[in-house]
Formats: sequence, structure tokens, C-alpha cells
Amino acid sequence: MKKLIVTIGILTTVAVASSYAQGTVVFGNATTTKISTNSGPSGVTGVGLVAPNSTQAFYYALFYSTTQTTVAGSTAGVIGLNGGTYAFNATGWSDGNANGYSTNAGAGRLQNSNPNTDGSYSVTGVAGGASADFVIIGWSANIGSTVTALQQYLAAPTQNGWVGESAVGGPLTTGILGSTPAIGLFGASSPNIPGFVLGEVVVPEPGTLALCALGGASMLLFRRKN
Amino acid sequence: MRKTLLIAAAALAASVISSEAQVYSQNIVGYVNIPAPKGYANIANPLDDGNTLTNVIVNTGSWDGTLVNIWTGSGYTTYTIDSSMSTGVSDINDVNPVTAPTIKPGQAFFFYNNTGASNTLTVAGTVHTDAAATGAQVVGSTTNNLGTSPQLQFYGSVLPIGGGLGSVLQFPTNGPTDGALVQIPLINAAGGITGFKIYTVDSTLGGWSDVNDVSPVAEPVIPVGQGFFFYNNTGVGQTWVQSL
Repeated sequence: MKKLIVTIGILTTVAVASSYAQGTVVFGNATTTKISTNSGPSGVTGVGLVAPNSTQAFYYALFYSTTQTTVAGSTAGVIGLNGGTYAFNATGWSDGNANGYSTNAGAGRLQNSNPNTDGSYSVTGVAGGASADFVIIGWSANIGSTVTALQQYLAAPTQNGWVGESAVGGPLTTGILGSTPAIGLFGASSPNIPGFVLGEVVVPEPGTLALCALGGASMLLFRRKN
Repeated sequence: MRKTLLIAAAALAASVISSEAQVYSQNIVGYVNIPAPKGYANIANPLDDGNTLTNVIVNTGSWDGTLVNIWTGSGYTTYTIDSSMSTGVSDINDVNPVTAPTIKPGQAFFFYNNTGASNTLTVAGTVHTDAAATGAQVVGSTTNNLGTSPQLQFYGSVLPIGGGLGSVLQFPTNGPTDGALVQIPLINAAGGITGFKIYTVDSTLGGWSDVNDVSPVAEPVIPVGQGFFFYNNTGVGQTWVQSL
């Protein structure tokens, strides 16, 4: 009987909380791990997400992998259309955002929009207490409010926007809501994710395209004359 | 600065031992009473007491069957207090005796009181110091290393004091630990752990801010003999020096 009581107690306690619970993380950064925008044609530089105007909002999605430690062979971040592959295009990476994205929390800062009661965030797809590698993808709100909209945008950009992916962080052991503290995603160095950069995706203006076409036509004419 | 020194009481005895002509150290002996209500309690060893589980939880039978969850860095190892075992401690299922784990001063753990009655845990021992008192100090100082591997640790005050984590326990909030997380276990009236109150260390916001490091908040308060989780994401080991 004693063992039964102890076993029941343990099953309801911290040691085992629930293997089916979602892993918890702190999906927000600190003043030491800010996000910045690159120097683009819109003149936005340095730390601070106030581009391209003061009301610009940003979204941040969390991707995880329990099998990969790189995104398509790289642990480095992606800035705009440069530098590598976004996790949603890489093998072994999954979207953990069924509980919502993170959004702006001030210049260079983000916080999740649907926190648990303790402020942590439950990553869908990662069991509580399980380890995973993580990346964060951020984009300006003019692109859209979902990862699907971001994917469509990157396939055929129609306007300038900011996009970036963090370096790979991990492995990090997630917390269990109600028994094991949530781990912080961000930090100064591995295994945490440091601050990262969003790069501007620039869509050429019609005038620029026309100039290019004119230049090309001129070259053809010049060749024909010779 | 108001410091709550819950040593002494009835059994307090202070002795000054001279090991060399000009060097003095004070061995302050006493005890700390820590509430252990039904269900979970957050306990930290506040004294040098032999520094094993059976030294911290002295059991003459009344604690038989209670559980102790010791943080491993990513989860818990569970022990059962059992006076019928040769070591006084058994495994999670209370089947085989195991060596009582080490619990140093300043190490915290969860204690699960399943005896059906609230009680008090009395920890007796000596105040731990790493260096003798200097200047205005009367007890001495301790240097606690806050490592990065594992990043998440369950700490308590090495000195038997309670109060504001920064203002009384002297936890560093002056810059090097900025961005790190402090998490206080939340235990409800039924004795269940319901979650954690999460703080971010931020010297630019007065020392303490909320989970998202956006707004300043009042510093966490740690009662004597209790602990807190610290998540060191600063990339380097930090030092927490305490003095009395």
C-alpha cells in the first residue's frame, strides 16, 4: 500500500509531470540579445525595429528540430535573401507555433503573444522535458501575419520587407509547465540564440526595371551595329 | 539593510577559533526552521550540516515515505526518505537503499511531504563561510559560483539569510548577469507546484524585470531556507559573493 501511495504521489509530481505536456521556453529576448535590421535602401540601421516607419510591426516564429543541429548544413543566421536556407525549407525542421507567434515588445525586442500563466511559451511538437534545437524567423508585418504568408512572399516579393533567421540554438532542454522551469531561448552564446539581424528584401521599382531593359536593348543595338 | 538571520535561537552558540595568531574565523552554530506543509516545499540547505540528504532532513521515522526531488540540471532524481533502509534513503520506489546524495549549503531541492500533516524541517549546523570576516563583517563571506553547465541550477543562499534576492541576499544585478532568468517555484495551498514566477536580471531596469525583460518589477524575495532556479545564459560563469 505504501508503495502504491508513493507511486501515485510520484506520478502526480514534478519528476514525471506529464510526458505529453508541451515543452516550455521563454520566447522573448532581453536587452542583451536584441534584434536589429540591416542597412537597407530605406535607411534603417542598427538595433531597433522601427522600420520602415514607426508603426511597423514584426512577427517571430519558432522552429525546432529534434534530429538536426543545422539548417541545411549551416548553423549561421540568414539575413534577408542572403546567407542560407530558412528552416521551413529545410529537412527535419518543424513549426512550433500553434500557440501563436511572438511580436514586438519594443525596439529590438520581442515577446510571445500567447504566454502561459508564468509567461513561458509552450512549443507545440516538443514534449515537456525533451531537448531540441531551435531557430527563430522574424519578418516585418507588411509581409503578412503567418509563416505561410512569409513563404509566399519570399517566393515572389511584391514589396520591400524585412526577413531574417537566427543562428541555430541548442540543444536546449525544454521545461515542463508546473514542474520544471522553462529555459530561455536567447543568450550570449551557444547553446542559446544570440540577437540576430533582419535583412531588407528589396523589390526593384518599375523605373529601375525599365532602365535595365533600356540598357539591355541599347547593348543589343550596339552589337548589331558593329 | 535589513537582514534576517535565523540562526541562533535557543541553541545558538558562537565560538571564535584562532588557527593562527592574526587570523580568526567564527564558527556560528545554530538551526533553521523551514516550513514543510503538506505537499511540496521548496527547500535550500542553509547550513554546513554534514551536507548530505540525511543531514538536512534528520529523520527518526516521522519523515518516512516523504520524497525529495533533486535537480540534475535538466530534470529531477527522486529519493524516498526511509529510516528502515541502511542509508536512511531509498530509491524513487522505496525498494532499494541508495547513498544519501550530497546537498551542499546553498543547494535547493523539492521536498514532498506526504505524511498528511504540515510540519517543520529543522536544519542544524554551522554557518558556511569561505573567508573570515573583514571590516564591518561579523560572520565572513562566501563566494558562490554560478556556472554555465548546466545552465539551469536550483540555488539557495549559502548564508542563512532571507529577504530580497538582490538587496539582502546580495545576488549580482549590476550588469554581468543581465538577461539571465531567475525563477521562483509557485506552490499552491494544496501543496502542488503550479509553475514559476519568472524574472529577468536587468541592471538597466533597476535590477529586475519581467519574463520578457520589458518592465521593471520588484525584486524576488527568498525566505531563509528556500531556493530559486537560475538560468545562466550569459555565456560565462558568474560569481555571487555574500557577506555578513
